[in-house]
Amino acid sequence: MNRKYFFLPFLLLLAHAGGRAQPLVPATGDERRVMLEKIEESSRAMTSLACDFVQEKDLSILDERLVSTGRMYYRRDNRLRWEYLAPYLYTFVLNDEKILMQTGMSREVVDVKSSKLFREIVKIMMSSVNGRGLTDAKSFTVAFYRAGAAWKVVLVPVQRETRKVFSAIELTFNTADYTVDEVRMDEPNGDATLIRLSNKRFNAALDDETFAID
Amino acid sequence: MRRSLLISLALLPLLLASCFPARELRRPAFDGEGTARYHVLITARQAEITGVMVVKRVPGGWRGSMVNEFGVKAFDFIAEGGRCRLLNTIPFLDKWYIRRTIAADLAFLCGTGRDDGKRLAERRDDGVILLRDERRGIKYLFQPVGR
Repeated sequence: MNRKYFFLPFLLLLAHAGGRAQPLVPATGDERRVMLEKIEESSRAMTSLACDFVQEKDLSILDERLVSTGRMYYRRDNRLRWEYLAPYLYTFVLNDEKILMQTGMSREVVDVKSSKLFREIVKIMMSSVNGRGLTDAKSFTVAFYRAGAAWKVVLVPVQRETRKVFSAIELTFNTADYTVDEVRMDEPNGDATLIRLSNKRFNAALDDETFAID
Repeated sequence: MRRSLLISLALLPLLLASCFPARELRRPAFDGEGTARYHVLITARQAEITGVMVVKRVPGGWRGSMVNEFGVKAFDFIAEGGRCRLLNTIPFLDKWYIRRTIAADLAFLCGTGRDDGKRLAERRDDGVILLRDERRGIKYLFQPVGR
């Protein structure tokens, strides 16, 4: 057998490995300090963010992937609008202490304070957008990694109830503007949800109407 | 005269039936080819849950998964052999009576559960499936969504 064909499977394997996600390298103490500083600096400078997102949910029991897309709007004064546009319509609005959840079939407004679960959801969502809360030891154990040119922060929930829903939440930061590009939520059963943010517009004026609830 | 009145009375149900066509649900209610996806609203007393349900026909039955709009798993289910099991249930739904109720309702829709006459269901022309579990006071609305 020609030797090049003998080595072909190994070459293909290497090429495949090269195409996979970058391996995670734990950050050193100094790197961790720099990462936190840069992310916090970027977060402080960000008054608002508008972007598109693609969400991919892998359903292992069906061997199916559920893909949805939409728009996200964030304003620093505790305002968030997470709007799914396809293949279904769903709007989640956080306006300080109130949350609106609206579909074509239903509309519900709840008080964030009324539910521990909602408080955790809001905390995770806001951390995902602005990168804050990475030092919140009461809610998560936090590990920092380098992954090629990107940084990854892996949050493992501390609270028992949250751990039943998420085994880990992984935030991927780019090192150009130190904002979140991807959020991956792992579930205890092995399923995962990946949200990719794109077309980011920073510090644009977002009016109150975007976050209106009543 | 009396005979024609009797004939009229006998024909009355047919007449009424033609005016108000019955919308009996065929079972299984879900689309049987490949995978079906629905935006779902479940209403129980004052509580509401919305999410996306993906349902797939597999040899011997059905499998499905319901997640909330953000992708967080509510539950998986397997309906086969006359029964339905819920798996990987999110903590706030993970009570035996909730699992049993939802499983029985899904088994009914999948056509694997028995019809005890306590459920009202219909499938509209636009593909929307409505189910009312009279015994438990739960309503389900399945709105088809594309890929």
